[in-house]
Formats: sequence, structure tokens, C-alpha cells
Amino acid sequence: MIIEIRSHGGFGGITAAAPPRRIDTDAQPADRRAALCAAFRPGALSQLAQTPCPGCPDRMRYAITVTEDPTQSPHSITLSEGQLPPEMLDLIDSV
Amino acid sequence: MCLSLSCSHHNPIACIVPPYMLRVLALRGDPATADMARSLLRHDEQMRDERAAFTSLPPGLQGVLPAADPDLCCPDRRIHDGEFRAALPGRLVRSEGDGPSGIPDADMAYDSAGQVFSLFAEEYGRNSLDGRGMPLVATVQHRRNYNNAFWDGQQMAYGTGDGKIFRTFLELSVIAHEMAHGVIQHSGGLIYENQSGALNEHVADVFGALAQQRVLGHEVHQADWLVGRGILGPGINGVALRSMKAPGTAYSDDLLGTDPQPWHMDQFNTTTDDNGGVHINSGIPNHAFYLFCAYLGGRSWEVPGRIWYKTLQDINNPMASFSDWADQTLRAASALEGAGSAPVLLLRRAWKLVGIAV
Ligand SMILES: [Zn+2]
Repeated sequence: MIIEIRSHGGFGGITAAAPPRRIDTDAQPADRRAALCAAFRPGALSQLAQTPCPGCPDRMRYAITVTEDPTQSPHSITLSEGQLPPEMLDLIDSV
Repeated sequence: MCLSLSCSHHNPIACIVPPYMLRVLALRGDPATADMARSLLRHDEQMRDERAAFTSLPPGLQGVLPAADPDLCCPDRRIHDGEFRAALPGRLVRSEGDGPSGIPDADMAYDSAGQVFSLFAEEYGRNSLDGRGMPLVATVQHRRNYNNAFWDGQQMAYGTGDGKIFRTFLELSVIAHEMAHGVIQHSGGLIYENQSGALNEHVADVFGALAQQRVLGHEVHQADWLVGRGILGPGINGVALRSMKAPGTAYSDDLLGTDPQPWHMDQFNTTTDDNGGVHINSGIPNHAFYLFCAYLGGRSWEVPGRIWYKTLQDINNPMASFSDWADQTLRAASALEGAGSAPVLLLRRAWKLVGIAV
């Protein structure tokens, strides 16, 4: 699985608030690979999009593209930082 | 002031030092002084309660005078260390009255939260972010290399920056900006998208700048009118994140791009990014506020700050447009300063100059 994350927004409202990330889960240690695959499954991401994020001033927004199978079209979704659980944010920060 | 009546069995220091000064000492004194001031204030409140039990207002004044908030005194700060993880609030490292934690970000968050509390309490009579004395909870060292600060609806959180794009977020105008989001939320709110969202950002920038100016004692022409001065990384070509005096000029950098803020409605940016450009179009009302302050002269946290604070309390329209907000500032200015007063005329001129007819 390839996970690409572009972040924007935040207090500065700027597009370059963090460099874009590209995570190849195959290149990760086994436990992290399992955690990443579970957290970034397209179904799991769609579920997170249902989490309400009232107001959310100054939160980052993450444009996430997941490619599970190179022969199929990738899955893209944009989520607010407030919609992602802390464990998932820690996972993103740890890569 | 203390009444001599209460001095017979009252700590003499509390009689010499008026409650206002005690509140300042509770806020700004070293831990021992602050502790003493708090205990004297508690005693003073007890005395006032006892006095109140024996005193009643003349019938004509009952219901006319605003009820004094007996709790409008001291902040209740609770600063946590996020330990570079995302879970909030993290480990409590400094509570109200504690000495320095030794974590520079935590101590800066503590001191600044006191200064912002003091702006709202002493200038606008507001008791904390919700007006009812809510604790000021903040987390520092939130996440790793995190280039952001935010208000999550209940607390503030500050990253350390990645050292390249941002070097810190612990700067008074940033801290006051985030706390002002809390005040806005508890004042009826402004929906965080499009023009009402840009107003939300604008009001947060206004009180961010005013908190900074008040601490520095800067009148309008001494102030830099920057939001986030010095927080950009050492290699970034820029002075701050936003300029209220000259929107669009805060930075111009290969990595960050150019500050996109307009100062006139002709350059209003229609976009779906950034919740409809909330951090971009706030430049327009920001500049109107600056112009109004510049026309008026003096201390911007006084008359202009009071007008903006009253506007926020009175507008009662979470989807307000720039024009709705501008109209409400004029109503607030008329109520506070008089219908045909100089501030009202100058305020109308400021809005006109940024392309908002009122
Ligand atoms: Zn903001």
C-alpha cells in the first residue's frame, strides 16, 4: 500500500505547512506496516470522514491518497486533523 | 477599594492594596506573592459577601446596575506537556500558582495565558474564555515537528515547529489568537467558513495583536501590527505570518510562497481551500481595524478593542458577512462613544477604505 499525505491549512493557512509524505507500507517494519494498513484502509478513512469536526479553527487538513493495488485507481479523501484519532496522528508522525 | 469598616479584622495589606491590584498581583506576581494575593482576594470576597448581606441597593437602582461577577479575579491555568504525541491534554506540568516548570514552552504558555486573561478581564470585564471562569487548559510540545497551534473547542495546543518553516508557536499574539477562538466560540460563534470564518480569524487576530500591544504598552503607531512575529524558521524570508497594517507583506519565500492576504474587497479571494480562505480574506477586516486604530490614535485595546468586543457580544449572527460585521461595529461604536462621535465617523471611513460600504 502506498499512502500519500499532503497537509494544508492550520494557523498559518499555508499550503507548505509540512512537506508532503509518501509512505510505502512494504518498506516498514511488520508491526508498523500492520498498523498503517489498518488505519489507512479506504473503508476506515471513509468512516473517519463521518466524525463531526465542529468549528475546527486552525486545524490542519490532510489530503490522503491510498493506492492499494497499482492496477486499480487510488482512493483519495481530505480529512481534518480533528477527525483523525491521536494514535493515527502519532503513526503519521512516526514515519 | 477596601472599606475601613472591614479593616479591623482584615489583613492590612488587603486594605492598602485595592482588589484590582490584588488581581494583578495574583496574575503577575511570583508564586509566593500570587498565593498571598489570592488568599487576600478570597478573604476580600468573603468580606464583600458579608457586607452585601447587610446592604441592599435603593429600589430605583435594582436591576439597572450590571451584576458584578464575583469570580472575575484570577485565571485558572493548567499547562500540559504533550510529550510530542497527539493525545490531549497530556501530562500536567504547571497548575495555577505553581513555580516555573522548567519547560520553556510550558512556562511561556502559562505566562501568556495570564496576560490574555488579564486583557479580557481588566479591559472588557470578561471572566475567562467562556465568561464564567473556565480553566485555561493548554498543551505544549504537541506532536512531533508540528507546524501549528489551535483551539480544539476546549483547550489550546501548540506545536514546537519543525525548526525549518516554523521555529516556535509560543508567541503572545499566537497564544492570544488561539484563546480568542475560545472567546468567539463562547460568544455565539462565527461559522468557520467563507466570510463568517474569515471574521472568526479576524477577531482572533485583533485580540492577538491587542494582547501583545497591551503588554508592550505600545500605542497604535509604535505597534508592529504583526501576528506571529518571529515564529518563522531562520531560513524563511519573512517577518511574521500576517500583517494587519500591510496585509500581503508578511513573507515572501520560495518554500512558503507569498503572503496571500488582500486588504481590499477588490482582491477578495474566492477559493474552497482553507475553509473558503478564512486565513486569507481576514486581511480585509484586519486592515479596516488597523486603519480605524491609526485614525483614532492612542491605545488600540481601549476604544477600538471595546468596540470590537461589544460587536462580538452583540452580533448574534454566526453566519455574519463582512458587511454585517461592519454594520454591527458602527452600532457598537455609537452605543459606546455616541452616535455622531469622532470614532463613529472614523470607523465608517476605515470600512469604506477597504471597500465595505456601511
Ligand atoms: Zn485562527
